Amino acid sequence: MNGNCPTLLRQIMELQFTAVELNLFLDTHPNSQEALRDFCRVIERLQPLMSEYQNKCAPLVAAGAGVNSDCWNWIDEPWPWEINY
Amino acid sequence: MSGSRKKPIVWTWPIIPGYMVPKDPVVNDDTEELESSSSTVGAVKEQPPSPEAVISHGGESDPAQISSTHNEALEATAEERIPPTAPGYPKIPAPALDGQSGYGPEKEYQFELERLKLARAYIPWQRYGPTYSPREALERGTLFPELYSPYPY
Repeated sequence: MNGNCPTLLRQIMELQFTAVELNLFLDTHPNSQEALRDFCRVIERLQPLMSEYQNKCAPLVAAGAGVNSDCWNWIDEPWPWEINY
Repeated sequence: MSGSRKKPIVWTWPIIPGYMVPKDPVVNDDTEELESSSSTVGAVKEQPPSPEAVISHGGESDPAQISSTHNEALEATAEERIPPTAPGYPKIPAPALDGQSGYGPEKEYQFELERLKLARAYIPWQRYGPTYSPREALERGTLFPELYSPYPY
């Protein structure tokens, strides 16, 4: 993996986990404006990072093939547990 | 998926349907006043001496007084003897979270176990408070400081 890809992936994982946590909180607290606000902020930060990673580094999911590659390149990069972050 | 928000759940805490309001409501944080509230519950029924008042005082009373009053309690009818609540449980303190709590003021979290029914599960209502940073959250396995509870290995 080139350059800052592992760092980028780590940031994506952190933000995705935070989004899941806030999602779970909102399941039981659907009226919490504070939690909803934070969830939106996390998503705003997460989406550009995911785009950047999929363009510069590798697909994040099987259907996330980059523009300059074949459609089955999601298996080319190391699996998340094989990366030394 | 419609994408619409879920129907709001209107819940207050504690959730103890019909059980948090005794005949003579005594809302107090002070332990001593709590004990007197046990007596008050007996007094409301106007059955001197009240068995539940005796039992709920536990070991804090004079032993001699306990035995004499206890005998009187035994002479009472079964209906009079059986306390409406479990006897003599202490107040449950709010967890110490060093100001990181999402539960709000400690006062609101405190309640009296005496007024809870036995053999039922109660879940304190989580409130949104300070959270970990995304990095810390991923490392700790939770976003919420009040839920961070590693095993003491």
